[in-house]
Amino acid sequence: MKRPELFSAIALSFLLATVHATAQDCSAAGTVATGGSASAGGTSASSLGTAGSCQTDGGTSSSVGSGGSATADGGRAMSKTHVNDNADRLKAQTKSQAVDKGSFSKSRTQTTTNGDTLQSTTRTMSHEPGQKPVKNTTQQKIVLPEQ
Amino acid sequence: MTSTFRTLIATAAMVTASCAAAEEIKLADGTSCTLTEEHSGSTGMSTTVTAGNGQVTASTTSRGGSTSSSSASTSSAGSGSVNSYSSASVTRPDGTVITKRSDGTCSIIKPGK
Repeated sequence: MKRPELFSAIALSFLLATVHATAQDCSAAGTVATGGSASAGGTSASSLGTAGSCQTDGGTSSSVGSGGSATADGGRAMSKTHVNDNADRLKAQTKSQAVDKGSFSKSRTQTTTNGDTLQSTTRTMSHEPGQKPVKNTTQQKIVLPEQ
Repeated sequence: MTSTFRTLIATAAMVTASCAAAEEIKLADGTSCTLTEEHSGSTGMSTTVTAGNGQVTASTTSRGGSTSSSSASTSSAGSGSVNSYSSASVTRPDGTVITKRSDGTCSIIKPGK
């Protein structure tokens, strides 16, 4: 990493997917979280997402959260997040990317809840001219226990 | 991943049914898992993820007991690098909290009697 000080400026902290209820309130509960950070040349990009669900006798409550950041020395940087709510399905997606003189960093996180299923995936990639791209994917998926 | 986690949950259920507090166990999939017993009787939990400064960290906290881990799945070539991290937790109906992380570690927090 050439510019560690650069990334200090984009430190990103999330406290999400908190299941506040106790075992007496939730018959079953779960959280998933994924995050990634990429850097190359004068660029960096980060994204992360979390989801939580709580099952009770009255139904299942869920939450999702996602965010990201991107920076570039003199280049272009963007980060955007969308959250969709469709019936019992929640979806949050963050795309972050930065480009500077042929170097680029990308990070994308997609987090969903669908009934008793929670899933989050983060893909990161960085590239510098003359070097092979570096990629990484991390994923978590859980299905809440049946009551 | 789903089947793996289900296997983990099933295995953990068997383990927690027969074990007492604070010990290291090895699951069938090779995951090293720390089993602890908390006496708060409360199993609310939260997950925190932090990304930036070239690192990604995550932790899952259960009321009365906590577990955390950081910085995993790192690869690099040239001066470019990527880092990623993930964790998943399930609270079973009996209050047992099972957490598995992308660095291959896991923890089982069993409510004390």
